[in-house]
Amino acid sequence: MKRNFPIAFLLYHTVPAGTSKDRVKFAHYECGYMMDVRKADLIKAKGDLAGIYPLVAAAAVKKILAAFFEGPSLFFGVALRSFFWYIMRPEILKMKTMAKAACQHKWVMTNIRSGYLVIEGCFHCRNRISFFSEEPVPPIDDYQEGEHFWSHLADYQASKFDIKCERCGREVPLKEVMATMLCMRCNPECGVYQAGSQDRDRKTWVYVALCANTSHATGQCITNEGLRALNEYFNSGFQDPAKKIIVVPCDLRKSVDTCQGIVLADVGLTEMY
Amino acid sequence: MKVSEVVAKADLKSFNEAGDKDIKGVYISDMVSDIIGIKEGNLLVTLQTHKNLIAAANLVDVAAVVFSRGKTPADDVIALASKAGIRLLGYDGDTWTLAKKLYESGVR
Repeated sequence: MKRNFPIAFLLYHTVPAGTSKDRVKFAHYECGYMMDVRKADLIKAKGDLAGIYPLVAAAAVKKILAAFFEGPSLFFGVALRSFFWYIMRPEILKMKTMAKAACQHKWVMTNIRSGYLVIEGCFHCRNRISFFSEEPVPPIDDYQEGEHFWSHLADYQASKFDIKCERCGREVPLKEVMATMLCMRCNPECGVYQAGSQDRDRKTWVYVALCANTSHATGQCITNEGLRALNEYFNSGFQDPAKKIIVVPCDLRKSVDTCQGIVLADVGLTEMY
Repeated sequence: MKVSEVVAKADLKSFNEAGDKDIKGVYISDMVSDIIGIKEGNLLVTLQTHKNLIAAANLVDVAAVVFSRGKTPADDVIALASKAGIRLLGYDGDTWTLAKKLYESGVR
């Protein structure tokens, strides 16, 4: 792959004195459309990243030595701080973990981004994927990625967000959640239907968190931590105490093709642009 | 303030009789993806009358939905809202006039 000269030029000139050149290294990896890196390149990238640590350690030693020659008080200050951190680090980390575990989370939305939910299908293997695009206009081009031939199927205006606890500051990224869908209870054999059937007498509504990998060919879906946070967030503050929202992962769905849920996206609004 | 009080003060018409919740504020939006970020108890003013909007309104537990400019929801939309306990209201005028009327009615 060719080196990206505009990016190199920009980074080298962010500091007028030109010193950023000594602190920036470029490595290049072969990838497909969007962000998919080949496995061989991924291994190479991890190796490159691991190589950064000795450089950082060397820089830290250089800083301590510089402090030593600059003056004893500065040197002892740096050394004392390092020693204290070394001794107390496990206890501090333990206290932080305990505080987070004991927190009665009060979740709020954070990092709200507007964009498009784009759905693509491969006519070769009939798999479907979706991704969130923050571009001003949603991408509609067909492209090949390995054995897949992805074609644009639909796009809807949508927004993405993460969840953050107001009390302890814990942040749960929801990067794999593409959209939410209300289950219309179309198939009693479906896992989503069954998730709400135990609470049928209560005012229970089941929503499905849709991940990017609609066909689940990789076997991955929404993380348990993300689901737990979403359930806690959407069930806080109801006026009716009998009301309950259950958010389930989309791999519980029996069939993508026959599912009759209502996706919470701006269907039809895209045609205005 | 209760939804029934606002219906009387702002001269709104009702499409169903589901619930009489407390109104904690007003939110005006025509985008479903925008609505899912609001807090519970809001009076939602919108032009959209499709089912997606009811699905989002249920998720964030709105006090009621008001369709401005004389928009009328379909029967299946009203049925879904009733099942979810969401009161559907209508107003013949534009959204700005409705916003002023709601403010004058004491909704803050």
